[in-house]
Amino acid sequence: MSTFEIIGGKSLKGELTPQGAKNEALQILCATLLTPEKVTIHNIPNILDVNKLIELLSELGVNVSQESTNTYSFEAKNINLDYLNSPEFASKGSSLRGSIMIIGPLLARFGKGYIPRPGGDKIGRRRLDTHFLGFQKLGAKFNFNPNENFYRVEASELKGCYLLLDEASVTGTANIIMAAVMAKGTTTIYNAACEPYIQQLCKMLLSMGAKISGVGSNLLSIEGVSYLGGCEHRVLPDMIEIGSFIGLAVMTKSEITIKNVAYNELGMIPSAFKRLGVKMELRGDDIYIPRHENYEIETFIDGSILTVADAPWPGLTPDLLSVFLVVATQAKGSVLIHQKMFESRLFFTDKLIDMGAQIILCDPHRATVIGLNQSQGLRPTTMVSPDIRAGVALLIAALSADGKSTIHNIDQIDRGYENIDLRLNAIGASIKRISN
Amino acid sequence: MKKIKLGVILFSFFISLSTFAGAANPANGKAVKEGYEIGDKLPNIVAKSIAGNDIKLSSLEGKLVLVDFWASWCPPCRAENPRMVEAYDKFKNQNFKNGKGFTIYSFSLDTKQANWKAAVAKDKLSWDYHVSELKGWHSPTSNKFGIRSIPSNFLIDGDGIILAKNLRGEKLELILQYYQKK
Repeated sequence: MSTFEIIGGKSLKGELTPQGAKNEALQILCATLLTPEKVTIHNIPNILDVNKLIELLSELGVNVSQESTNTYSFEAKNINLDYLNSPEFASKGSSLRGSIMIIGPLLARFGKGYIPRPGGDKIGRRRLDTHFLGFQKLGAKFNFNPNENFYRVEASELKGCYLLLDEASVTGTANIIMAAVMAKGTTTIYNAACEPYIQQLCKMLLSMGAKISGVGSNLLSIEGVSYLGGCEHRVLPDMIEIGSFIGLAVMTKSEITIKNVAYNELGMIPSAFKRLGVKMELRGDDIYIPRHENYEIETFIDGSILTVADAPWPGLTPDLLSVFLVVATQAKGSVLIHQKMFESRLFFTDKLIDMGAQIILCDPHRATVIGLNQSQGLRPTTMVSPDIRAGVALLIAALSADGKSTIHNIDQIDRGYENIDLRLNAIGASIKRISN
Repeated sequence: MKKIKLGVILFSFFISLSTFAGAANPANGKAVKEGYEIGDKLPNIVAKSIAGNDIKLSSLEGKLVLVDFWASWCPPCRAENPRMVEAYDKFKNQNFKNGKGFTIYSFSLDTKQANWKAAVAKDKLSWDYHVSELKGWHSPTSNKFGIRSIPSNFLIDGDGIILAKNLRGEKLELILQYYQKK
C-alpha cells in the first residue's frame, strides 16, 4: 500500500495533457480479438488495469508489440483457447473487471468464451446479467458454476435478434455489440448504452468492416458480416481526467490549459462545471481555466437550490460527482449532489468534513454542500483513499489545503490515473510518493 | 456469390435512401442537412495538397467522390490502396446516376510530409486530390468529422450527399457498379 504526502495550498500553472480513456481502452483492446489481422491502437493509457488486460491478451496468444509509449499493435492470429481453462487465467481474469469483455469477441470468432468472475473496486454491486442475457438471446448457452466461480458461454452459431437490454450497461452493450458484429443476420439492440466510448468501439468496428447503424443513439442495428479486417484506432482522451483537472484548477486557484480534450465528446461535463460557477474557455481543442478567486453556484430558474445528479449518457457521468462535490465546498452557494447510480460513493465526504467542508450527508445517495466561499480553506489531514473516484477528489482537496496532507492506499488512484504525481508536480504541485 | 452480396448491399441502400428521400433531395430545392450519416450532405473540406495549395472538396462537385481518411503509417490503409487504385482506373471516366466521373479525395493523417509524399508515390495513388493538415490524429478536419479509426471513408454523389461509408475490400467496386449508368 503506497502513500502520497502532499504539501497543499500551492497554485499550479501550465499545461496538462489528459491520458487515453481507460474505459474505452478496455473495450477496444478486447475488440482486437475479432480479427486475425493486425490492429494498432494509439493513446493507450499506461495504467494497471489496462496493462493487465494487455498481458492477458498476450497470454491468450495475441501477438502484442509496443510500438511507442502509448501505441501497441495486436495480432490475434493464433489464439490458444486452452488457456481459458488454465488456473493462471482464473487468477488473472478475476482480478480485472474489464476482462469480461473478451467473451463477446471470443464467442463471435471461436464460438466459446470463458471468464472467471471478475473483480474491480467496491463501489456497489455490479451485475453481469445484461451480458449473459444478451448472449443467450443470440443463441449461446450459458453456464455458471458457483463452486468454481467460472462463467462459460458457448454457441455453435450466433443468430441476430431483437434485444431490449434490462439496463443500459456500457460493458454489457460493448460485449453484445462485439458478439453481434459477426452473427448471422441483423441484431437490434434497444436501450443500448450510447456514451462516447461505445461510439468509439462502433467507429473502430466500422473501420474494420462491420455494419452498424444508429451509432450514438440507444437503438443500434448490427448486420452481421463474416470477416473483420485490421485498422488503426486512437483512444479518446479520458473525460474523467479532464473533469478532474478542471476541478483541480479551480480548487488550487491555478491557471491551467488542458490539451486536446476532444471537446465535442465531453457532453454536459463543461456545462455542469459552469453551473457551479466555473469559468473556462475553449481554445482550439484545448480548455483554458483561468485562476478562480471565487465562483458562485447557480440556482435553478425558480431560485431553488441546484441539484447535480448523475444519469446514463448523455446525462452526467457518475464518475465525476466526487469532483463536483469537492469544487462546491469552496463555492458561494449551496448544491445537492445526488449520486443515483451507485450506493456507497459518497461516504468519503466524512474526510472532507474533517477538513472543514460544510456537508450534510443526507443518505447513501445524497449530500448537500454549503459552499464556504473561500472564507476558510480546507485543512490538511491524513486519510485513506476508499476508491478511485473518491481518491482523486481527496487528492484535489489535499492539494488545496494549506500544509501537509497524507493519503494512504493511493494504489486506488494509480488504477485510474497514469503518473498523476509526476504530471502534477511538473506544473508546480508538491506530491511525494512513499512506496511501502 | 457476388450477386447475393450485391443484393444485400442494395437492399440496405434502399432502406437508407428511402428514409432520407424526403429530406435530402436537392433536386426539390429543399435544404439538405449537413452531417456524417448516409443521406446527409458531407461538410466541405479545405486542406493543403502536397505542393501546398488549398484543395476544396467542393471543387469536385458533379463527380462521385470517395473521401478517404488514411495515413502512410497505417498498414491496413495501405493494404486497401491497390483496390482503390483499381477502382479509380476502372471508374474515373464512367458516368453514374448521380455524378459524372469518379475520383478520390484522400485526406492523410500523416505528420511528416516526406512520408506522406513517398507513400502516395509508392502506392501509385495517381489521382490529384491528396491533402493533409500534417497533424496526425489531431488534424482539425478529421476531429470535426469524428474520425478516430482509419481507414474510414465516405462515398458522396455529385451533390455531396453521402451514399455509403466505410467501404472496404470489394464493397467499393460493388457500389460503384450499382450507381453506374448502363
